[in-house]
Amino acid sequence: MTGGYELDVSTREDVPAWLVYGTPVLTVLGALAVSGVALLALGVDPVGAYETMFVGTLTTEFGVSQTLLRAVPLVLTGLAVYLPLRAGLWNIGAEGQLYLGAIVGTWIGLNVDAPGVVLVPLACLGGAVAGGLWGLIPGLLRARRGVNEIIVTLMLTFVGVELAGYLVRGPMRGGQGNFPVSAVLPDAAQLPSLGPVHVGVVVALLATVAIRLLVGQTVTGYEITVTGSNPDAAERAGVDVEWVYVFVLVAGGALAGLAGAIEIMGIQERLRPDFSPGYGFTAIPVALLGRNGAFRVLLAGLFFAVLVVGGSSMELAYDVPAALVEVIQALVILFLITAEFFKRYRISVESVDRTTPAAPEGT
Amino acid sequence: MVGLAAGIIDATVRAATPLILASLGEIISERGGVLNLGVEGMMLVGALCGFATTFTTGSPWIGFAVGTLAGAAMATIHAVLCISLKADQVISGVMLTLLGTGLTTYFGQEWVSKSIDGFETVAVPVVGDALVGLPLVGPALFENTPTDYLALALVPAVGYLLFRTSLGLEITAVGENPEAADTMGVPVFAVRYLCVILGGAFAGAAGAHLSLAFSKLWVTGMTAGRGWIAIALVIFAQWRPWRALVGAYLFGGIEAFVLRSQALDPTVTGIPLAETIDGVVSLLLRPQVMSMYPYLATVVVLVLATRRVLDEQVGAPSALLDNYSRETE
Amino acid sequence: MPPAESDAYLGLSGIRKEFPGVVANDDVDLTVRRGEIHALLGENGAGKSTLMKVLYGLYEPDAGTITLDGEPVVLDSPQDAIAHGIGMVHQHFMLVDRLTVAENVVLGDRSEGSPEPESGPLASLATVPGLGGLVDALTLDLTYPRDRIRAVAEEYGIDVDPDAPVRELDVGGRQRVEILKTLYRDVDLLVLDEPTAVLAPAQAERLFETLRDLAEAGITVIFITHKLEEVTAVADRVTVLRDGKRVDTVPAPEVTENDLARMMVGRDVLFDVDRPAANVGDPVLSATELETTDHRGVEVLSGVDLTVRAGEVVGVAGVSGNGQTDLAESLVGVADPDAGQVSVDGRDLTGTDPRAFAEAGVSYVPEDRLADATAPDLSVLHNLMLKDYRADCRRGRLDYDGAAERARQLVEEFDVRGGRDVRETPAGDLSGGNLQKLVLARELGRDPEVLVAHQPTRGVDVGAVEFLRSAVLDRRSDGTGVVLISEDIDEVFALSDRILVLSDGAFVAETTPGEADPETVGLWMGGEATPEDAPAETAAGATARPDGGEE
Repeated sequence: MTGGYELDVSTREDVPAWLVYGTPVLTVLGALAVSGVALLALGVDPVGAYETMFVGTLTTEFGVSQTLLRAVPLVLTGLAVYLPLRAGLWNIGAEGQLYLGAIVGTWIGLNVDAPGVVLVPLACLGGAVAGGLWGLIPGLLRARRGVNEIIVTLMLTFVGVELAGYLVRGPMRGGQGNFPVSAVLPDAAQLPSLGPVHVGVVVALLATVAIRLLVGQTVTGYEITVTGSNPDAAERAGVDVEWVYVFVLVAGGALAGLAGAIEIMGIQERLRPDFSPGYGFTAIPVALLGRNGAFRVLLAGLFFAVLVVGGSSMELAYDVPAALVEVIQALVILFLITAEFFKRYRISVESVDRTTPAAPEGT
Repeated sequence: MVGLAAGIIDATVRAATPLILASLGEIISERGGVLNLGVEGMMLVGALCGFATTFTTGSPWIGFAVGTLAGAAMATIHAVLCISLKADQVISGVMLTLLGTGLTTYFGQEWVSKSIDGFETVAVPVVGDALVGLPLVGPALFENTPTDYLALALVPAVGYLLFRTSLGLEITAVGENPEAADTMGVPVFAVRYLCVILGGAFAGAAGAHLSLAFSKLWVTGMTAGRGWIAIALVIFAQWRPWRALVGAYLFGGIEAFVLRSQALDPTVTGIPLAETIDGVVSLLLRPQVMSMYPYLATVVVLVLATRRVLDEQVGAPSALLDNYSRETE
Repeated sequence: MPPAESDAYLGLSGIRKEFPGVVANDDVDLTVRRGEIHALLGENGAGKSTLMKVLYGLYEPDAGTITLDGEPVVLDSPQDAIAHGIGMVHQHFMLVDRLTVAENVVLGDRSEGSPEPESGPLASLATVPGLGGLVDALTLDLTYPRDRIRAVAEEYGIDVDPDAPVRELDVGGRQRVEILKTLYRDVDLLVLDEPTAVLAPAQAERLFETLRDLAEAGITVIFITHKLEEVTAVADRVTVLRDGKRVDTVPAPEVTENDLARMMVGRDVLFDVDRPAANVGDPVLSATELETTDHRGVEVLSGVDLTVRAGEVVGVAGVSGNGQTDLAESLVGVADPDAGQVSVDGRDLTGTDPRAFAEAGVSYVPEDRLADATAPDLSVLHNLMLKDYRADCRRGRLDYDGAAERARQLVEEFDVRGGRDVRETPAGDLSGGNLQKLVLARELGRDPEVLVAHQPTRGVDVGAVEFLRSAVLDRRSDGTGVVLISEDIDEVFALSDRILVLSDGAFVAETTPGEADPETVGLWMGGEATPEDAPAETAAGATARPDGGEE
């Protein structure tokens, strides 16, 4: 038998402070560094590109207002993933709930004749209800039948997207010619603007505060948190875990549905089958970055919005595809989950001498 | 009408191939206990790498091999994160899809609108030339690209691997009860790595087939959700290769039908409620409505399977989504 | 070092294994002779299973050496153990339900144990150098294994069908497959971890016969148990473990069950808790004719009656696996019994939910505090609120400040060390004993009418044990009725006013600490002669006799 080295993996009892606070910064820097290689590969100077992306976006009024507008659906869908995640459930179907909200919001905007003061809140409410119902299905299936919510939310996403595709080609078609789009919303159904942004920014902010209060200050929030940490203990202590599961998926769906209605009324002005560039999927990394609190979801949503807006500027300035932003987003999360491991475990290399076990003494 | 039907059958066979390949890979991965939601991303990477390699070397076979390896490489990331670093399988998978989409859109731009010869269709040896002439199914069954045949051949191969080999036993064991497998001396981590990487290779092959045989073009986002369909298909097929083949033809058939169904508008006459039935039938045959069927069918199968899973030999591998580590108190 | 023995086959020396907060094995020596049946006896938590998992390569010991036939060996993984001829039948069966018996048996051995080259489409490739391993991996020929399984089964009188799917087997059948798995690999040393825990008496008798046959065939058997009768029934020698340490190794025929009980329990009273006389009031919790079944439909509790009065502690002594969990969960509303009633303070709460029980004043300390009683990654405050958080609701807001104030008092009062920062410290950071204090603080701090405590001091350090027991007795003085379900005879004697012995889903004896001695109760727990056979010790006025009592 020979000596050698082996990796010793042990659970950390205390996580050093530098790891706790340094991790988000390090993961973002790491993702930017690796993506920098991709920029170099296309012959672009990464420093200049990142300067355009971040400095350019954050120092111009146009950049800031675009960031805020982009952040609205990201924050709302981020919350739609965040809330079920608090209860230990994966809602990876925020995209579908967003589409349902957009469909119903558009329908109300087009078909209800009312002044904007009534119509806009009504369409928002309709969108939230539609998204909530889309979340009710996986919620009930999970609570009552134990059906895995990951797959059901995912499948219903595609159903929602196809539904929008059908509607704008069928009952809701309203574009000129044969384009699969709905009619343009009347003025009364357009979100009121607040300077360069629309009122959806305020809604996203209020939703964040509301979720923060819900989770941090209410009985329901306490039940969600305990269920997410240990559903068995929660149930033994008298928490109605089934109800919690239904609640978080319905509430999450409602937030995503609200995002859909707002996106249509504030930006798109009509329903298109491909109006979302995947907000509901980007919501997953947003919720993950912000999983320790609703305000962190807000910050993560803003950060991802900066990336998206900055990516477009970079595309214009350097003629490189803005899709690099998706690479950065994915890398941030992949590095983050790698870092999680090193937070949980201490890795050390030990030299092992296989010959040590002494022969038994005496005979 | 015969021409249309033959066209749809032919298109079904073609649409089924990437679904067969990707879902076979996902079956292997999930049977080993690891859910891979990164299939879509791995397919895209496989498609682009395969296309670029074929364009450069002129050989679709080299391209296909490189695309397959590219999928395996992406899956290796998933394996390291989920098996060694015990990361959440859902997060890692979704992020790999995002990464694959981003990378291929970014690096793929310069390949858009280039064209390659790709794989040519070939008749089945010996009997093919005689049978291609058969009405309706002739071309669909006996004149395809090599990768179509490969996908078909891999169905029994994967079935053999899973159910007729020692390795297959070990795969089932680490997916069902990794602790038991460990006590029997099965190298749990190694087997899981193998399953995930093999699964990624199949996804890469599925993507390479798309760009080299199906469209012979690189188009941004060309997988168009087929990776997600493959994941649905695995549940629909209840983790069995042969059922995945049947499911792939069903789902592929829907895809083929959707592309052509504008030409189809059956009308019912002469019975009561004819108009209502007409309306319902034509609604159910609308392309976008039909596109929902695979997803809805998957949810239905999942709900039914969840109910029966305790007493039947179907259902998800018991240890799916569980990351194994030996020494916990 | 143990005295060296010329015929020693397996030697463990100085084995130490620590888990966070617990020393599971403390410098344990064990010598086993070839061909003997060696019993490893001890209470739950004495360190028996840990020691055997070290032997099987599942746990890496912190110190100590292992020798086989005098040669030091390193066992880093089950593969190593298997290679050295060690087989283990685990307490929780290690079987893959979806596979057949034969498939489970050959799992992990890619050549299926067959000495013949394999047949099949790939077999010819095996002659190519370097491809043998690949061919082994990619073939599976169960012809030889089937024959061999039948042969082995016949040789040792084990009844199994190689082609039966494992999921269709009952516990006895599963266990036979487990033993067969090891025999198939030609083990020299077979370790069985509590093999009879899940078996009915007739099945156990059959197992013993098999073990005797194995020993006669020269296989060394180590057999973990806490049942005294089994030691005298089959073992040649017995090693007793207590609190992670070896007490002694003795020839089984030369000791009585009383000797073993004394060694196992340790007669020096460790904890002398002051127990004032009971001041018993009206019944607060009563259960009648409770019946439960497990998920396979096998009866677990068969008609149990139990009445607890205010201010008394009723100890339910028994070896785990005899219905304890079902009893505890039925009494607190977590599980619905198939038949029978549970009333609290005279109110029938059968079929309601845990919340109704909690609101009626029932507190519960589950056996597994990490899995069932706490949310380890949440704060001490969150965990302390878990039972009565609704009471902290002020106009829709949860009053965390008020709750934190009370939490700090509870932490102080129950001496939960390491939990002073109630809002920030995650409960999972507390040691086992302090986590249990936290659970008890939560359950007792609400002045419950009833406390159902299941193994409240299991795996807890010595200092905490005394504190926890005093806390239970204090609450008893304040009029709480307590059900203490425990395997720890000392604990039952130290705390109980009445003692009921639970065996095989029914109460088989009732006594008081004054009437019976721990050895006797230990014998009853082990299924030995009960008061039915020796009625002198039976208490009058039992409310918990299996035959209905006086309710």
